[in-house]
Amino acid sequence: MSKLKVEDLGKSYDGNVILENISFAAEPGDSIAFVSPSGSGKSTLLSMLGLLLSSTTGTVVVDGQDSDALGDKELSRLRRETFGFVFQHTQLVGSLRAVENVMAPANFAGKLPFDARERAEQLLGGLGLADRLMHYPYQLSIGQKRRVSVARALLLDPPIVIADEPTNDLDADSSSSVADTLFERAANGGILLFATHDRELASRASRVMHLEGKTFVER
Amino acid sequence: MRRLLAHSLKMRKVLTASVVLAVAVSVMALFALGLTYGGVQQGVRASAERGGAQIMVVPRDAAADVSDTALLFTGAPAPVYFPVSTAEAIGEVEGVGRATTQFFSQTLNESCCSTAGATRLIGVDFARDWTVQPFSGRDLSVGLADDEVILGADVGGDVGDRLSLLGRTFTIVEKLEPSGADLDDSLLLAIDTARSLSEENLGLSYLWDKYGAPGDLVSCVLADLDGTADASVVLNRINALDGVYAFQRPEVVEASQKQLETVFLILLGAGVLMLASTLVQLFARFYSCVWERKSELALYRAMGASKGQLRALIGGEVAAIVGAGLVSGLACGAGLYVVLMDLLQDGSAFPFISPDPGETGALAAVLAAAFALLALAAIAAPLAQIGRLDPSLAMQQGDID
Repeated sequence: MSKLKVEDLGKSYDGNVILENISFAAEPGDSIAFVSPSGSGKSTLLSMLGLLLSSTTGTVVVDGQDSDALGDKELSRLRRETFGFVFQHTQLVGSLRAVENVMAPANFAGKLPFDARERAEQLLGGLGLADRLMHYPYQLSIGQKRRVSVARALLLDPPIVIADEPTNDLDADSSSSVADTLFERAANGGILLFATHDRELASRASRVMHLEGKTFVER
Repeated sequence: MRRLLAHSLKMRKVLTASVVLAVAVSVMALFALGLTYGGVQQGVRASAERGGAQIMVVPRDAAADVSDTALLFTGAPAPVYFPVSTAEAIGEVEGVGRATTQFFSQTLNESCCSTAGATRLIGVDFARDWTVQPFSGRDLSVGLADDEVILGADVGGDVGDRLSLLGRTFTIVEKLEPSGADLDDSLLLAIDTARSLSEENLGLSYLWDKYGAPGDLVSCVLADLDGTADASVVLNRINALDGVYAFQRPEVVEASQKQLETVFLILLGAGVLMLASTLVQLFARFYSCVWERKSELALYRAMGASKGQLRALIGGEVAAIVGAGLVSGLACGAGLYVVLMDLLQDGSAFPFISPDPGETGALAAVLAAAFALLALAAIAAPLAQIGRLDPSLAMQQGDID
């Protein structure tokens, strides 16, 4: 099981400070909700935690490895093997069918101990999309696309799942289904980090961090 | 990743097909032009280097109907003759060093002999000849027996085979190397054998009625200048003799090469402009193929693809496209080359030697390397830029829903 430690993390664009002084640690089993109004930097923070965006200050340490000290191969391996990312804007490839989008991470993972297609179909089935496997993104509703995005993040069974507003645009049933799937990871010893402005969803997390000024603090 | 690569090509069918076509057309044009140019150059060079004689003397009747270039490269392909005495007189002209004679017997057709590809029968004075020798590995100065024949490079048959020719049987004693000229389609006999064969041919009796007994005739004289003799003076002296026309080989070779170079310069100029335009388009297309997909590629980076894996993915796509274009372009180029050569050989007297497999392979390899480099150059910059961008920033733009 993986551990995550964040030290003094901050991000500035052209001298304009967006986030600063963010420090916390996450242990297996933790589910941490980041709560703040829209446009306040949650996505930026999650991108830095998922090693998709370099920080201006501070560092992210994953299983004892300082991400700032890692080269491209090691960073790529961490992104591939340790993190699963659910993007706020789903980020599906328009020319791939739903099941192919879910399978996409397998293309870069080498030989897998399981059948990627079978796993993708299971995940989509579990999220209520068994009858949408062969649909292209333009044929899916926003809620369905979000569920495909969740399934993709879980394909390689990552120990840390990062989800940016995972239940946005979902109806109550779908929202509950997606949330259950994500929290199940934490319950099974993984780490779930997610951003939301949905207080009900945040209340299901084991820890909640709120934005205060330009930093997130746990309350 | 192969599945993703195949999918990517399949999903961009029109783009893929158009780039393959653009590469194929460029490669086809360059390959065909390169082979044609190389073949003609090699033919002219071989003719110039190995043709031997500096001066060629033909019957004035033949010169009236045929250009110097044709005479130079094809000899005197007409049944017109002048007396041996005139040939001997040419040999004694002041300024002429060595001289040898040839006897054009006749044009051959399919019924004349038991081999394919022979169109002319020529008698050669091997004891004094130095013009055929460069195309042979054996000493031809010892001459040929009455029943021995030498084949040009394109005539069917092998050394040691028996050949039936105009009612007589001959043994093939030599097969010449390619000259690029009509020598390649010729059967060579000892000059006296060719004369006697012609004399036996009743269909040619009208010629002997006109010119006299073939034993006293020759078709052309090939001569070299003696040391420092002035060529123009020697030519004037020969041309003063009755019934003959002499011309200087180097001048004709030079003129032919200039003609050839001019034609190819024009073709090359047009080709280079067309090629430059195509290369710029290809570069832009390959470049945009990568840059327009930066959000997709950044997404793959977010999923854990390393820069090396992205390079392999894009490189594989480009290799597949360039490879398909190259293979089809080379195949079509070879076909176009055959058509061009047929046209050139039918329409001109330029000698031609097909480039050997090594040269053909080298040209294909150069083309493959050039297009591979072009593609690499086109994808290197956008791939490097995408690699430098944080995945989350790159993902914010493009064709990702």
